[in-house]
Amino acid sequence: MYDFSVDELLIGATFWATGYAVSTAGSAMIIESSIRPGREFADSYKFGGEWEYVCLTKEGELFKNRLKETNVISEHQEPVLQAYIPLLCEIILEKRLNVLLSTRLISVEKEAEGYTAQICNASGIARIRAGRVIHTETPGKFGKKGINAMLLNKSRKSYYYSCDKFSVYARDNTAYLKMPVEREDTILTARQKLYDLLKTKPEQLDGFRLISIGSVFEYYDFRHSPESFSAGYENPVQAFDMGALAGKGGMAV
Amino acid sequence: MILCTKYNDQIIKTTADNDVFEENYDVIVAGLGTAGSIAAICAVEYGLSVLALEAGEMMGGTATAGCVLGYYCGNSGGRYEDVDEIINRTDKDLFCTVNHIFTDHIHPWHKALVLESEAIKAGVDIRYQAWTFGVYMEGNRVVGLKWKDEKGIHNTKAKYVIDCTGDAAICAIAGCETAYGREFDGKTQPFSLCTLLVKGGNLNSYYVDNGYIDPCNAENFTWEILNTYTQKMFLRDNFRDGHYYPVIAPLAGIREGRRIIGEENVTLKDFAEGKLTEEPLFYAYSHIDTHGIEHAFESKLYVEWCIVARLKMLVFAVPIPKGALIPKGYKGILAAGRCIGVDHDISSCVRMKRDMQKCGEAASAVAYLSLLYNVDAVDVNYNDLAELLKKSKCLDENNNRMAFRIGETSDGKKFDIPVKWLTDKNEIKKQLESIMPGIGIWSAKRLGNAITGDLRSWYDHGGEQLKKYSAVTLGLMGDNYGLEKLREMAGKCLNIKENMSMDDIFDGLGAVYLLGELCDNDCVPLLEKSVSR
Repeated sequence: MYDFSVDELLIGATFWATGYAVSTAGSAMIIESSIRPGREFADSYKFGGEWEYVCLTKEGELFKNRLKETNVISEHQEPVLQAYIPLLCEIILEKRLNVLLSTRLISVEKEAEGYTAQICNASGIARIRAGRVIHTETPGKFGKKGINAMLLNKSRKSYYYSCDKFSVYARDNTAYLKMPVEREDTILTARQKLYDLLKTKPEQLDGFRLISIGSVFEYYDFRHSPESFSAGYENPVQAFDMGALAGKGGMAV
Repeated sequence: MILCTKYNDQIIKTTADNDVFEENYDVIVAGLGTAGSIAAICAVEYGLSVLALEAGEMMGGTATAGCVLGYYCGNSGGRYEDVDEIINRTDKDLFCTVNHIFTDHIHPWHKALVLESEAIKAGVDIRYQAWTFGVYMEGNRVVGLKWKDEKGIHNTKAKYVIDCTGDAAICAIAGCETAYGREFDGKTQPFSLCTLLVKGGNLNSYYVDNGYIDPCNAENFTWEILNTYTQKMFLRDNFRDGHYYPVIAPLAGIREGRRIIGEENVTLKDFAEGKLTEEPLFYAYSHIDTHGIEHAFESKLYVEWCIVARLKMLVFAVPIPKGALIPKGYKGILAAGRCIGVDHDISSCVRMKRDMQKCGEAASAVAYLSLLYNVDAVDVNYNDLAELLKKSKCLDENNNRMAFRIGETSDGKKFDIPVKWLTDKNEIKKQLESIMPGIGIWSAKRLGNAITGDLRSWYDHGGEQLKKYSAVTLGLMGDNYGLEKLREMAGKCLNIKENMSMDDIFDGLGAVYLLGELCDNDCVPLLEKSVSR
């Protein structure tokens, strides 16, 4: 007996997953372990690039236009990262997508036809019959990963520095510190390494003060297409658009 | 052995004799929030092996992931102060300054990093993104948890589980009796989704009440979070028009969730009647801070306390007994944090961050002594417990106090006047004539019939103020001797004028309530006239 039966169960309320759910003709359910849809970009402090990207779907184009219209992305300025979350929530509500926040995947078992998944949240465990289970938060073959932090740039001077251990980019009153970590690092060990780096007080970080530390890794150097891994795309628009394309069956996942 | 799981809000019990425990700890702390972080650190410092499971990615809860920078009320003393002292002493120059007006505000990531460092140094095994979905039981004793993190599903044995999930999530899976919300409609206090803003080089937190949410119901929780994010506060027409928040809290600021029914339960009624434990583990300290404005939907006692007697700003110490941390009838499990055995009315007073950190420390002390002397938590000797908790000042008799908050300046300075319940009739009379009649009203109510004659006499012969509050006090005691004055107070309030004082409004609201309680039919035309107007 199942509590829900869906064509696709999407793991992670990512841009890719939302794009997929918006465009698919079938039924889709998205589960997200946090309360923050779109956190793969918003909470990793990944600004991304390739904003000139031309969308392949009308859903992607509409989303890009919404980001422009609300000034989240604009020429010559970095995107307003935290704005991604309310904008994705807006789409989820407008399109009445089937989303559960603070919900985690416990197990997936292959059946003769499709899969049986168990999910868990505050209401307990639920069993889901899904034609497919698509992970949108699990990185495939990537080269490196890093932990990023947001800093206060009191001088407001533009600044860029990069070395093997870290890079820092400052503009206006905010700066971003990027620190590559080992593949094996967890968010706990990565965060403590970043703290250790700050404690050594490198002169290149003089005048910067920590505001916050990303809770999600940034991944770099993908050797292959990120496929359904949302954070592997250059920017949220591309991730959303490629999800929408996959939802229409235009991309194999 | 039985495995309890929750399946669509129903507890399912299955035989689990073949399940194998891969790890064995003295204590599992589930939830590394305000209470859990300190519980884990203290337990390991007591010499216990500790596994700490956190569903999110950082320690500290409301103060860190919740982005609430400051302390509000709560009592001093305890292990948490050592953590705060480290934060104030070290590495401050690495972090953006926080709201410099309030000296007790703490940078959330500084606190998270220091808590994490302290926990690692002490030897706590921390697992983030770890969700518990099963509780192993032998009879009425919790003996382990089934949980999952990035590495997979784990079965872990423990002598004690300390449920610091905030909403008694583990207790609920184990089948412990719980309670939720207010009697009228089951609602809890509103929640807030906090944000951080940088202003003038300082980090400030900013939040409003974002509405009701049920953290124990996945669909409601999802719906309310999505709705909150699409409120004007978060969803802007133009995100560059003014400063947008660099940080929106990754943790929802839940003020009240599911609560356990404990071996002992702390209620506002007992507090109001002076029925307090003589064996406190710590004193919680706050006023009734509900955040809601739907006073009429709260309990009669709430209305009488906050509106009629105007005691909402009475800041008082609530002694928390050991039994409030022990789910009724269960062994091997303790609760710490806002979900302990309190009723809805007093829960808003027993949830402040300082006190919840002390609660975590107290829970670990109970577990430690229980294991040290090989007795169940209910049988842990209070003198041993008090001695241990007094060492860190988690338990400090100086914290047993009561004060009236009469103001707060823009630099965060609080103006509190120490007060106590009165028994001397002349002092009560003096208080009823003062600008803070509440202490006099409630003190008289506590005396009951012994003061009725005096109140009637004060009503007949006293000045305007004394007559008014004698009528209110008599009304609270079910005596309709002062009906005429109550009608006058209600009429004045209902005839709303722009320049009406807050005193007149509260007097009027209290009077309307009392007229209803006293079944005064003669006031109906007055109310009808006001409603039609």
